[in-house]
Amino acid sequence: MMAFWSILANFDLTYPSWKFFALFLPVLAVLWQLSPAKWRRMLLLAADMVFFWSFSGILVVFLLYSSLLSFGIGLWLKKVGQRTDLKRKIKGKLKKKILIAGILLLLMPLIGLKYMDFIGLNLVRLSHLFHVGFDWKILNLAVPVGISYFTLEGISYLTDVYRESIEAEDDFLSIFLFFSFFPKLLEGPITRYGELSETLNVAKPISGENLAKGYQRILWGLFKKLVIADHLAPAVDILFQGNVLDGSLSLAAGVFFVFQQYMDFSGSIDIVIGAAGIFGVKLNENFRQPFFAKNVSDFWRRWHITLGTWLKDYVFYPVSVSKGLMKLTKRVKQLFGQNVSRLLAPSAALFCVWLCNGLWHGPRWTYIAYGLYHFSWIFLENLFGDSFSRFYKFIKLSESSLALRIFRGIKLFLIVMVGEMIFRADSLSFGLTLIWQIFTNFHWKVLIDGLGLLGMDVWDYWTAAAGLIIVLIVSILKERGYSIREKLMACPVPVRFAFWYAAIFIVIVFGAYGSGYDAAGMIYAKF
Amino acid sequence: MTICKGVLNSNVLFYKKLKMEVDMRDQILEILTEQRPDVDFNSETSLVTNGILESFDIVSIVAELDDTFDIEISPKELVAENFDSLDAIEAMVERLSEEE
Repeated sequence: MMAFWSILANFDLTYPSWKFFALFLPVLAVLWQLSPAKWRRMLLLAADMVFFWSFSGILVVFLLYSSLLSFGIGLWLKKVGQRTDLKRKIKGKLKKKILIAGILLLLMPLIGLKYMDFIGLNLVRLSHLFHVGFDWKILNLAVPVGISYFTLEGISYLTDVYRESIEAEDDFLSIFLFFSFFPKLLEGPITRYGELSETLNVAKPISGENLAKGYQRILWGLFKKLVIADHLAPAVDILFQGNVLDGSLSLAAGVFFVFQQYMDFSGSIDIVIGAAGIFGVKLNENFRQPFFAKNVSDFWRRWHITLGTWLKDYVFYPVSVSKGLMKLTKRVKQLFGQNVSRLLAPSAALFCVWLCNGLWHGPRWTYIAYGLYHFSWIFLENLFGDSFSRFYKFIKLSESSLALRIFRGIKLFLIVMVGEMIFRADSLSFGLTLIWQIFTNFHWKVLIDGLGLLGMDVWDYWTAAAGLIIVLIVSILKERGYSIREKLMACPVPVRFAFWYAAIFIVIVFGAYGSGYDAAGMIYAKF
Repeated sequence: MTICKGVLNSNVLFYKKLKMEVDMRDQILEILTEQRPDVDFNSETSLVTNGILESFDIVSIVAELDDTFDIEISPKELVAENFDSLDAIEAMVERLSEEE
């Protein structure tokens, strides 16, 4: 028995590995179809546990802890809400206390396992500044996969129950399934109980349409991940090794990493949504052509959408309408007028959102700097957004003109790229050095010579470039409301089969495999 | 005579309430227009759903509503249904004023 668990612990079930989509998923699908309807949820839970165990083994206790805690606190909130012997205000205060306690208890494992070393080491640095003796022994604790995702899901569940926008669930299996649903465990998307439970607990038999659509989406994800992201991965690793580069190579590092990150994360999310879709479970989209956004604020409504909406609903709104901030807004209005006070609450809340966004990615100053970098851009956009629109009107440039769209696209790409360079660099100083080099030490010749030394041959560059062009064309069509898949569904069967076989062939032939290929290297799985 | 007085009183109350509602609507409209002069709030009915009002706008509007009508708008109220139109905002302010 022990041997089984240890084999499982070394069984690679990352989404792009064949063991996931060609073994784990088909076996589960067959068992699902053979099981009586009432056993399907138990079967799904068993699959969730196998999946979780393959990454984090016994750390599954933390998943169980979050599920049990959310379940219990949810029921407690419901019970208090139903009490008729308490006045509305007293009841509200009691519920708030329970909610805060629940959130703190949910955050404890996340902070304890993931952030303690970071906090400890920074306290040591701080103590040196004030000449106080403080020491910290590095703990290097193991962190269960998906803890950042399922902790946020727990907080959203409790808050939604507190706000009475959903009812507390009294079936523990439903809650445990929500927390542990395997497709979204590693990289999200971050789900809400009210949305997921609608399809998760139905456990209907797999339909031919769901199976086909699910695998088509998985194939699209594999294309992005294996054909594009993993071809760029070796070059990105070399460029971000820590050596100070010529500006041209620093620029290449930024451009390659933006493409790698986008294709890696959105490709993985395609696989996740496809895998969930096979079992009739609908997950929210996490990307919507982000590089077609008109500005940074719009970009964040299209990139990692579920994190953005989570932060909006559970950080931005509560902070911005908090009593303290409202009082301060009134005071500022009296002192400086409405134009200043109007910006105060949303800007303060926005700062908290981006601090949380940075910290959520992990215990590193580069992530915090990345969050605050995006905060600065969005703050400036809110401050001067109208001025730009007025300027474009003044020079008679239509907002929908091609020239303006191209200008905005390049500007947005560069802004995002600089942020991603800070994000990817091992230290803040190295990230800033790379960016500085672009402006101060740029030589095209070094780029031409250097591209051959980045672990990618000409074939790899052409493959990644062709893949990106295909993604660009699909994105343009999607942005215009044209769905290639729907058009394909309307084609005769031989055409459809030929298309999908060709797609499978392309992924197999052009995907990045071999010694340099690391299936476990899913960028967002480590968060 | 007593009946006439009663009818008169109820009419006065009715018109007072009507005037308050008209005032409230005008004040809300003024707040909205100050925040977003480019939007026609009398005709738009999907302000949040269609992305016309963004979260930054909503929070600024909430701060003004809070100050003008002395109400407490909790995060629970910050949903599209309450901010999609002038009518929806007015209904929310009325409801919260009664709850206060």
